[in-house]
Amino acid sequence: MEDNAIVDLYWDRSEEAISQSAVKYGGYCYSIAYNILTSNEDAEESVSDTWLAAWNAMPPRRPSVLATFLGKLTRHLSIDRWRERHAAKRGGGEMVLALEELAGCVSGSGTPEDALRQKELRRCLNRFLAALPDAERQVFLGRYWYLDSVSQVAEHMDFSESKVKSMLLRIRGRLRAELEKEGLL
Amino acid sequence: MTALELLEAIGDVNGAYILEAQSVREPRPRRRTSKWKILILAAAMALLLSGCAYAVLKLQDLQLGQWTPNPVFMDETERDKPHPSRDVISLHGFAGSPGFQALQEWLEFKNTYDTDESGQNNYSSPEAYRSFFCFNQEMQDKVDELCQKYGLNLPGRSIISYDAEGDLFPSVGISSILREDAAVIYTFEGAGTYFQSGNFHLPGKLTLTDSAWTSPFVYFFSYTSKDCFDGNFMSVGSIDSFQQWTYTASDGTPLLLAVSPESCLVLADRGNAVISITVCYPICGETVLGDEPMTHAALEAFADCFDYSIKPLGIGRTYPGYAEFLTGLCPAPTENDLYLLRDLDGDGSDELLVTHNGSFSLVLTMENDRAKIVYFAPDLWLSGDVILDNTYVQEGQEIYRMLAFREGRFEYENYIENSVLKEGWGKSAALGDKPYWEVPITADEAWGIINSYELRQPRWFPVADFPGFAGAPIAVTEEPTFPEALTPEELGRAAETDLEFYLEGQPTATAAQLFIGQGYSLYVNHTDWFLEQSENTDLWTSEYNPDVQLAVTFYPGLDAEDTHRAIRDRESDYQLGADKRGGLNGLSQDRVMQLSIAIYETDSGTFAVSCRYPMAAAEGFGTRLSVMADTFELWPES
Repeated sequence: MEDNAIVDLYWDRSEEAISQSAVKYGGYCYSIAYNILTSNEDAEESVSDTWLAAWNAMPPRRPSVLATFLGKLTRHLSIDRWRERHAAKRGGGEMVLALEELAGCVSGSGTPEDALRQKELRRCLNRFLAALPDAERQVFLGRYWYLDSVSQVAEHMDFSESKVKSMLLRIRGRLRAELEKEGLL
Repeated sequence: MTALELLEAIGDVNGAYILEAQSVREPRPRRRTSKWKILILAAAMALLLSGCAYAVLKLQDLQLGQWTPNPVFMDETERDKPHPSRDVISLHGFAGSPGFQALQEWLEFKNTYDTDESGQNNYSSPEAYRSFFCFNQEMQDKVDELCQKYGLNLPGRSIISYDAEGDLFPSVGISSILREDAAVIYTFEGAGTYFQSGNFHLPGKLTLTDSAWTSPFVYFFSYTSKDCFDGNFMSVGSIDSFQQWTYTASDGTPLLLAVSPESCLVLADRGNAVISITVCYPICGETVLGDEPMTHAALEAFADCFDYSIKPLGIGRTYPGYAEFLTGLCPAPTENDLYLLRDLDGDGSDELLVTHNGSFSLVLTMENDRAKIVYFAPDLWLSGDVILDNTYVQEGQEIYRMLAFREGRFEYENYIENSVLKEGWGKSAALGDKPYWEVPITADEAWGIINSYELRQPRWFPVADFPGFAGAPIAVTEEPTFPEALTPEELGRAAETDLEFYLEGQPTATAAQLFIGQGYSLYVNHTDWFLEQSENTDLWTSEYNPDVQLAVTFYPGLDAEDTHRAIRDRESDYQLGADKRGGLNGLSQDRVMQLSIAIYETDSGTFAVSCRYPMAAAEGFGTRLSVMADTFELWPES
């Protein structure tokens, strides 16, 4: 079913919207959640939470690309769930590794980002990604959006793991420079 | 900033990059949520949002409470009779849903409120509140409170329609409430009503033609959007007296069917709307169901006749785009389906104005990349960039609405009303979005305002020419052409003759002249019969009795079967049955008048020759008419 038709189902408040979303994007959302949570049960719960969040968001939202809309919901929900679990000292996985890697890009300050800074940060990230070569952008997002392991990214890109690691190192360095230049650190 | 905050911010980057990254990832081995869990989850969400999972649907899930009819609203002859409380159900969704809760509060409010209208004072109800029967500002405020509390919309003003198939259905953008393949004889009797929100209701009557159940069903059909609060509930008498069961209609729609000694119900929850069909009218305990108790099979067969997939037009409805909307509305447009693009609010983006079925009735705008209906009412006019929405019932009952489109919605520029109740002209001083007759003005002042809106017909374009329109090209109706009038000699008929008939058992003859019509001829005594000609109909009325009439009507493009149907619709006051010669014959409902119709089918359409006379004149005029009608002949084929 086309994305538009699925979104119409949400707008029509038809329960069929959830079934169709699950059929088309269940696996996609599950993989995002699993990469973060590394637990089948937790990942399934995140996916279920995604459908509820989507139901509450549409209407009034009407995303043109349902995959990214649902994927972002799953990612946010999964990170929240990870945060709760991490506070209870459970789990690990790629989230911890990714956070350790990204720690080199940031100041480490615990000051919460206000809405304006978050908006500036998103704009900066989009400009940064737009300037990257395609392969580097795909590697960066495969690692830090999808939370794929380095080996998975290497497999997807048909690169060696060492090449992926060195690419990520260079990209993180440029990202830090960009964030400093924009005054976001 | 922490690493976690950065990681979260990365989650909100441009979706195109996310998709690009996904495109290089291989499909992951995944553990799908089982289908059973999906169904459970979907059912749970339905329960959360509507208050009732469909599998356990019962009338009790719709029960609001009890309602006691208010004698104030009854005829004087009924007021002194006892009127026990009745169970009432919601048509706005099931227990727990916003519409249900709003209606429940409204019912409680009305049951305990000032029922003798002593608080009425000088209140004028804006049109949007008329379905609530508010008689003072406090009641209107209560409606607003409930709408705000539960996030509901008002239904908008109502439009009455006396022609379901020719007006109401096309106006709300549906072909019918009946399935095309329903094996029924049907009529739509009485007035239907539709609202700007898309809600509508109407009465109807149908008889199943392939069922053991032969009694007609008299019913009331209602479509109610769940996000719309109109204050209406359904009184069902005693819920416990109903036998209820769930049934899956032939199109797969799950239904609740219910039968009681007073009435029968068919209910369908369409997710965003409820369709209810009430068989018979439970009027204060009277039953009109008839002597035969309803069977499950009969009600199921009745329920299968309806199209539950309908989605009527209404303010707020959205569509993928203008072209998609027009394609859906007019898949086979005619010359009466037109569009106009105009930037009504000067924001650089055109609104779509639509004339459908000859009536300018729709305005859409693009919002969030979707085409959204922002105004919906029949017979609109355009004055510059201002929409004029006028209602004329009769002199003394007129409303003139002038609306401008600003920031995505219509706002009243002026509201002028000539009211019977207020005994004159008035205007709305505060306007807003719910104007009403507020300040009296003179007729001169009223017409000064009305006439300041100059009407200039803009240039409309055929819907079929809209870029991206995916429907059929315009159907051009080819009017059948008859050759020029033939002469009696060419027809092989005498110019004059004597018509012979029996009057009170005695043979009698009367002179008659050959009348040559378009495509036919027949003999008529021109001195005794008065001829009126209109498009497609030649009508002779007796000079001695105006109730006695002979008519020849041509139905272009219709075959005999369709002509039968058209005649039954037109002559709904008569109980017509087929006769052995392929015509129709029957008496009026009051059994005073006789109507008999002979049918003659041609390649270009069908002629119907009808004789109408009082039963009391059957032996006299009735005989003469049938003799004249029997002289009808089609022109010979050229």
